[in-house]
Amino acid sequence: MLKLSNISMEFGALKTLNDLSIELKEKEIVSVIGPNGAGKTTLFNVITGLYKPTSGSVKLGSQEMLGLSPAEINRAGIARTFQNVRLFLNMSVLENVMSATFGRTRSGLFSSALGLKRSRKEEAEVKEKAQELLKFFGTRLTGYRWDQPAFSLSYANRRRLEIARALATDPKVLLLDEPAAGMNPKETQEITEIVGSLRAERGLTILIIEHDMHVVEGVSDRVVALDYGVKIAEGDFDHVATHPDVVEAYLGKGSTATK
Amino acid sequence: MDYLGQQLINGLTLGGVYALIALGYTLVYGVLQILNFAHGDVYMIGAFLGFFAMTWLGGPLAPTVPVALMLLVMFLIAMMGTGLLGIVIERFAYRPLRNSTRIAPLISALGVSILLQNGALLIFSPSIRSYDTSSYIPSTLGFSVGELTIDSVRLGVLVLSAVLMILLTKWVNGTQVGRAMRAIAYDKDAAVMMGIDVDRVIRWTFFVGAALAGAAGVMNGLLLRGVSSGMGLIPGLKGFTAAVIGGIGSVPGAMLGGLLLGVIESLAQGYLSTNFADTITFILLITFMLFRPNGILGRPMMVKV
Repeated sequence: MLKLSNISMEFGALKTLNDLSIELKEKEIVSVIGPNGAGKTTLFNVITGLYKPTSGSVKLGSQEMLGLSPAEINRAGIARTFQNVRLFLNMSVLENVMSATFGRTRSGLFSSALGLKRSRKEEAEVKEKAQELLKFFGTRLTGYRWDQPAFSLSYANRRRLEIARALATDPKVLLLDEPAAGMNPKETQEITEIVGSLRAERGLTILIIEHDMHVVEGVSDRVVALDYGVKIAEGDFDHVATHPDVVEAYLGKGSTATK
Repeated sequence: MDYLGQQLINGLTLGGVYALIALGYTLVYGVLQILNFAHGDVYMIGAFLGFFAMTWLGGPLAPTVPVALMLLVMFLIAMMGTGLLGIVIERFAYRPLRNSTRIAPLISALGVSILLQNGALLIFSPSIRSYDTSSYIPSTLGFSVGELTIDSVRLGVLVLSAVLMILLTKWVNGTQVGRAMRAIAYDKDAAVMMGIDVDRVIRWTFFVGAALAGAAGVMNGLLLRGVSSGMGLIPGLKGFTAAVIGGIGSVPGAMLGGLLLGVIESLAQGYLSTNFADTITFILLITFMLFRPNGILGRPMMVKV
């Protein structure tokens, strides 16, 4: 479904990604782990077209993504969330989700300014779709919350809203950047279940960056460990978590695995 | 009291025109963080287009169609024409500089401004054209409240600028393009990664901003009658001042700033001196820049990561 081949990303002399290849099969959930600065978010930025890699290829199905603009890549079917939550805080909860459907709607200025029927209908459809997507998170983002400004949401709800916004672009592949960061154990458990149901109910292929090992263990079909932009281990959770190179990357040389 | 009331009405009328100009600055600044200093000249072109539309329909003395229809055509042609001009300016003067330093589009804007002014001078000649409003809109129309009178032209300008501002607000808040515009203004990188086509939104933004300036140009022609190639400079700067006062980037701010500036200027003209009004405007601009650069309704600058 998503195939990254031999990606290298150099910022001057600094190689943040080094000949990295990862492949995700359809409906697979793969976690990327690694210490801070390992190149995880850089990887997401390369996939979504924010950075142009020095070399390599990113394929969605048979279509090459490199060279497309971030908006085109999104419309091809790759959506993401952000490590440092980047909602449109000047808008309501509902509007955040509605705005992400823009790439797929066509009403022009005149029909919308004049409130023409087609444009009104489209507006109503977009609204309904957004409400439907927000119901994915139970009652946390529904009802009176629809019209609340996004800045009034709790941190955990902001992360949930970001996922709903990404879903509004109708992705095939979803990239989640630390979805459980800053959440309490109960919320973390919930996010783990959400990620599972994103695949089960919406058929998504998911690449996820996460530091919380409970989440990684709970959701992943496969785990990829990065250090200094190099893949140091890949396999199921137990294999990667006890891999000597991974332990060394996290804890330093001479440490023993204590899982 | 009546004198004050009269000044306030004049101020609101003038303020409506300033607000329409200010909206163009603020919309463009919102999505691109550039100051479109060619905006005042777009307003000038709007005034000329309205004038030519009027001439085409028989001119002020012998209109070949009903006056209401003539006015409608004048506004439509001016707004469509300046709207398209706005798109062309964005395409050729700003888009190539999208990823350059911040000073580059500013210089480009001044270049476009000079080009439009001198182009207008060359093509339309330096003579001042007159809308000669009083020959087809009798000043006796309109109404009085007590000893306050509001003539038909002022009333029309007030109503139309209010209508345009309401439509704009609805467009910004309740349509897909308006929402995408706010998304880009808040966080462009996040917006593009949500599939939002920035070029398409920017085109609409320039079209709408320029069309409002075009309408303001025709309004100014109807109110003050004279139209010439250099007429855009001062109203352009005043629209910019209004946008800064209200908080550049903020749509309600531009409206508020425009109305405030119009009223302040009108009061200054009425109670201090006619020549002093412009000075007050620019003292206000400097004061706001120094002490409250985010304006009345603008949000504080954010550091984006």
